[in-house]
Amino acid sequence: MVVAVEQLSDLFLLLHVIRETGLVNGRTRLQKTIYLLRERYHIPFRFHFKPYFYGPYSEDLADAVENLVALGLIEENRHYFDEDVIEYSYKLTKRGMDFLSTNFTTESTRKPPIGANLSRAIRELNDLLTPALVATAKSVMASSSLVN
Amino acid sequence: MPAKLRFPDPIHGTIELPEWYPIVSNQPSVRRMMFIRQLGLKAYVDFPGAIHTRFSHALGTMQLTKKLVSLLSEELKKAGQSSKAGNLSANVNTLMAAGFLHDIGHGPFSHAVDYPASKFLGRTHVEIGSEIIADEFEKLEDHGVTLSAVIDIIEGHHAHPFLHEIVDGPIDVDKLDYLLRDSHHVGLRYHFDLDQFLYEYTVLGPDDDLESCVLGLNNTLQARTTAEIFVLIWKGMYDLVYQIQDSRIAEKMLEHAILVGCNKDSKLKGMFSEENQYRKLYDDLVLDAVGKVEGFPGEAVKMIRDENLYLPLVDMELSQARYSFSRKFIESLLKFEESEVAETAVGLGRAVCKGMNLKSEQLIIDLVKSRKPKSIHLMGRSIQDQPSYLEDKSDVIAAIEPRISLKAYLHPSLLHKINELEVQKQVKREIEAWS
Repeated sequence: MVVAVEQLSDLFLLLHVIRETGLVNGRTRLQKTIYLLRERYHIPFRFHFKPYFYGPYSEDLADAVENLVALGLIEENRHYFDEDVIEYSYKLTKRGMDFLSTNFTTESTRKPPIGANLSRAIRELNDLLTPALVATAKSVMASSSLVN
Repeated sequence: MPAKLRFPDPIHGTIELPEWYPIVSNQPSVRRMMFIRQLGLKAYVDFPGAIHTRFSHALGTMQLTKKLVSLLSEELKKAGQSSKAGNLSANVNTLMAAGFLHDIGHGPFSHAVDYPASKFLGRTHVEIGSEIIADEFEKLEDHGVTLSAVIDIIEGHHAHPFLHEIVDGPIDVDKLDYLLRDSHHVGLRYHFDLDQFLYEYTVLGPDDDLESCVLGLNNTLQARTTAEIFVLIWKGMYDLVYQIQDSRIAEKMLEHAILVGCNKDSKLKGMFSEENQYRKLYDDLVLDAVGKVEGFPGEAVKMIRDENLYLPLVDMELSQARYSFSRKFIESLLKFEESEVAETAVGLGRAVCKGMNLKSEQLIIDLVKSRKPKSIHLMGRSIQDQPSYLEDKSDVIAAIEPRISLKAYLHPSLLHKINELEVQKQVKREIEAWS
């Protein structure tokens, strides 16, 4: 099924980003990635973000992820990142993969205004280490609040 | 009559009233809270002791706000965090007003009317509350209360997050009060040491950047253990009280009765579609008004009053691999507002009834979310440093999984006439094709 660009929902975009990333390491990483995809690369996420300790944070996004975990489309794993530091990682389950390929085609993401932008944006953000991602998100939020 | 200075209270001993209390005490929206039971239909069905009202919870939340702000200001001043301490002291009346008014927009029977109100009035209870505050409480501005900040705090988007987290956050005073108050009145007697817990609260983050500061706990064994008990009581109360099956069925019956009733009776519809009428609704008024509408609404209210409830027939945990869903169905479950999820459940129920040649409302579908607790911040290496999270330090808390269940409730007259497996099959077909 090809979905018109204007109908691209947060659900599709979120699942697509997680699939493209493969494994998202950390809640903070997921939050900042989605924020920057929206603010810097104009990917039409509708989640509402507000400033928080670790930079922009969206309760709607956290809620959506929790619901997708409850529905078995995303898997959340908890593991030790360092001796005393826990990290949560996210990946699509087989069910999530099947759902995405049954309900959407990537054709929607290849058309303007998203075009090749999304894959390139995900690659660029994946190349950033988490502290740099957080710093970038914070600075984008600070400058957008100055503009507004 | 001389102004009241305090109220006795079963949870906090004494509620000390602020000097602005006489200004708000006679407002219709405040008086109305005395006629809305905190746990709605649960008092009729599962917990006869739960006859406490939204008003007593509002007072308790205000009292705890005052206590917490005072403890935090003192502690932060001692710790040299003068900016945080000063900000809290300067906002004490605003925060207390937010604590007192945080549920002012809730309709009767609490969440049972959230979807009808959202459908016919086009607003959530939080939005209605903000409008009531702006319309009715202007005089509070003369007493150190900033109304716009009260609204920001209740809506959870104050520029200084730690301020709204006192009233609306993972360890907010709203939860502290309702968990202790509700468990006391339902008779489950869950308890944690509130006084000791409050001493462990702090404001984390740099003192020169209040926009980054969050409400959290000291990273002590005492704080972590009490926080674990607090979260487990929260979960226990959801499982055993807030989402208990029979009361939940009664609430869904009432929700459907209001929806059908509003389409049949213009007077009833006016109560839910005109804000000036909606603001005057209280429990008994709604039950009487819906009970007078002929057909299903009147019958449903009589059944609730007689405790002749729909019967639980199907309980499907949606994470199980044997269920598949349409895109629209999942999108509707991702909505932040519970009333939007209720809308999907109502539509699904009617589609299932149609598919099985049942009359509408003979089978009611319910979507029940069991949530993970929100992350509680713990102090990092110092008060200014990045915080850590309780679930990172506690396997008990980390083990709480989110769950979404789909339940079907059947009109008792259809017992033995409708097969559970038939309903399950029809539900599966509908959620796969939901559009």
